[in-house]
Amino acid sequence: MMSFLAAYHPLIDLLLLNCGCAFGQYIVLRAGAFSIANAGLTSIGAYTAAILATRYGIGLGGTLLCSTAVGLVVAILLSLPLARLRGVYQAIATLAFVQIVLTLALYAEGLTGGALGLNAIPKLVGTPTLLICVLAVFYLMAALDRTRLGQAFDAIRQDEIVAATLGVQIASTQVVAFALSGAISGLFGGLIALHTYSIDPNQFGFPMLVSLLAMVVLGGRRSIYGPIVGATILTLLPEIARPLSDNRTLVHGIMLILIIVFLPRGVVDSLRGLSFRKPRRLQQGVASDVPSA
Amino acid sequence: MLAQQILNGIVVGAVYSLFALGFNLIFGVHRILNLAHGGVVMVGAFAGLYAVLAGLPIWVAFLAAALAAGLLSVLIDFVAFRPLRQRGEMEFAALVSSIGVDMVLTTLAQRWSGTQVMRFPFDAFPISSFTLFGLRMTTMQLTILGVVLAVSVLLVIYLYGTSFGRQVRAAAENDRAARLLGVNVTAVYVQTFFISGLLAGLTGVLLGLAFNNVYFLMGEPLLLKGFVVLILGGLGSLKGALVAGFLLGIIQAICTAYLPNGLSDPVVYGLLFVIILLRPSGLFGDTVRNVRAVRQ
Amino acid sequence: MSLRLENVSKQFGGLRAVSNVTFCAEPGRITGLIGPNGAGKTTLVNLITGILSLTEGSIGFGGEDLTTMSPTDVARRGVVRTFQNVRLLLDESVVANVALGFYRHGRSSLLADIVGLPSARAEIRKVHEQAHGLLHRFGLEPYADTLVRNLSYGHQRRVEMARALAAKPSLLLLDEPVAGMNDVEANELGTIFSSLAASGIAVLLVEHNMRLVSSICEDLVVLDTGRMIASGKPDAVLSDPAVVQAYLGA
Repeated sequence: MMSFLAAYHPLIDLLLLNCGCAFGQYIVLRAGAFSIANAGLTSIGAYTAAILATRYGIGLGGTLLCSTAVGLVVAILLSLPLARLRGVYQAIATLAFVQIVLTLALYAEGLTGGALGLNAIPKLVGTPTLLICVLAVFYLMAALDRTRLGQAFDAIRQDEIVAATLGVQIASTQVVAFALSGAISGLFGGLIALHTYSIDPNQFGFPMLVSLLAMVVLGGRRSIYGPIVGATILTLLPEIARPLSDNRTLVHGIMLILIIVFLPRGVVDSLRGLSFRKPRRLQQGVASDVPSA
Repeated sequence: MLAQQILNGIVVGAVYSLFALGFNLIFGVHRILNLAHGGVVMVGAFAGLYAVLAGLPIWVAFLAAALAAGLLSVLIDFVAFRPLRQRGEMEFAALVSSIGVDMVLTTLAQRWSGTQVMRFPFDAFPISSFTLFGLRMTTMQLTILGVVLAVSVLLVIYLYGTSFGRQVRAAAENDRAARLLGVNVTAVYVQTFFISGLLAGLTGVLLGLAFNNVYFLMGEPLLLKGFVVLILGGLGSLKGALVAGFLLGIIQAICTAYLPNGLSDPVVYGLLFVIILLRPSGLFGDTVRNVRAVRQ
Repeated sequence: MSLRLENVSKQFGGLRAVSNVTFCAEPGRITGLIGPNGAGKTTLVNLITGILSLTEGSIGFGGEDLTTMSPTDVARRGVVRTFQNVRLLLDESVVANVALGFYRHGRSSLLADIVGLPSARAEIRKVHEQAHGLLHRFGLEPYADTLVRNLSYGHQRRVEMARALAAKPSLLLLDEPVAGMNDVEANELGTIFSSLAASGIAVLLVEHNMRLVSSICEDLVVLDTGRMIASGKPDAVLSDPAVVQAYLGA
């Protein structure tokens, strides 16, 4: 057992980090927001943590709290212009946001170390901390799953008009989703920094954006197990099949197309659709069952 | 000096315009945000480059690039967008799928080119410069302006002067109504994607020639600049794409002239947020369509 | 509270879909809105619920002006509708769809929702219990946990109706609620509509089924190509030559 853990330790840590980041992406998509800002938000969280820990010697708790708070604030600022606009604007603007964060991280060498990034970050985070954080986020997701907020998220994602005509406030609900997403991404950015000794701007670029999106789309945007399943599949797949790991980006790209075409609701939500009890008397042959034109 | 910078900016802006025209044609007609458009541009540039390397004259290279990118674009529609139609959440699905396509295109190109930056042979395009009103201009720059203006004029003639164009505009207005009126919607999709690809192919070769490099990631910065153009001009508006492309070229030239090195990009992307905040419909866009949960 | 439309018009490009429509829908009564296909009935419902903006005119409900309100704000005033082509959340269970109707009456605070306080979760449990009561009323109890996408069209209609009632409307807009149903089922629903009106809410019924309309509506408004060609008591309106002309002549 111990040797098994030792051998797969890095993989388990990676899996936990991916799960957390995937939750950050999941919560906005569940609320019907087309935000792909999470790579940028994670980057901000990571740099916040790295700078506080290396330059100011702040401990684990304080650092992670700051990362979370910074992610939260930035996401709220980002959502204020975007939440009232249609999805395509959110996609364009958040993609640009990721790029802005990246170029600024490259530009502000004094603060971020430029293209070389920040090194010699104290390793304050091990598997237990990661596990606790993932569980905490999962608990949060599970808790809000069964509240009016979860109800509003699902309504907006599936039919905005219906949501609005039942009194759901679309913009403010999405601001909440952005905020949660920012906090989660910030936290896990901080964990990445305090776990891996060094960070650089490019690790939070387009490839990260795509892999987060792939995890959530693969797992499913509705069920709280979706991101976990998606992250697990995409993290373990390259380990199981070696040739896939050399083509990771290609696999992610092809996956995205295949899933959205053939399994648009993702693995978990599609299974959930199957497991739900079918009606006992589906077709009764009455006139009411004939769809009108 | 500034005038010279602005002139150079206008030329770069012309390329942005060409890119945004192709992008907005798809968005305006089909409401598909095709994030693979940058990848199509890149493939066009490679097609043009290989045509030149094979010894073909430059105008054939332009033609080959346009054709290759046009066909690729139609193929993308068939593989990545067609299966998603007539389904709810089409916008999100198309977005995800196009990101996947872009990823596939860039990875394959990276393999193909061995991650190298490739260049057109220096005699591929005869470059000579001349002076106009005290400003230096090259034949390259003149060609870019010429191509972009010619393409814009042809696009206007196509959309407003032919029966194909009328069908496209009908489909843009209302897909289902157009179908009922006997418009062949499938043909419209093929046409718009092909034309959008043609424009992307031309963009790719012009870009490759102007900056003298062709590499697998060249579509990415262009896509991002293209977004600023789209938002500035108004999503779905062709007129907006054309005007805003030039405008961004000029803005960028001024930023480069007056701002420290490396800060011009963040400023340009930041502009995108300012516009979204103040005027989400851009210069020529349709305001109400873009804001959700309000009266339309 | 009564609904008042004054000179309401809507222009789509060159087409005037609704033109100078003026009428009232009083609480405690069912007002029927009839007219041939393309008369502008659904457009009118969209104008009232805030999905479309008016070209001219004004819409008031109770003491408030709905003319420029967003769909969300209109809904929060108690204006609830059903859709001509049933619109439900297909990936949710029947009970979850009906529970969404209670949304605007929710009390839990945002913060309680975010951290999932027991009180916030208890509220949703209560809402689900209430939803079960409505399911029972519409004969949907056996399907409570079925995903809506697996339901027949007729049952989806009823789910939508149950959702509308869950919202406890002050004004209920029904867009062809019995289309495709047989007479027995239509009358069954008609009885429900009448009892709703009797409980004091205003009901606006858009319908093609003349038998239903003439049996349960106290007032009728007839539209033809966007214009109001008649209004008043059903008997008088249905024998009006202009109405007969619109229906038979078209």
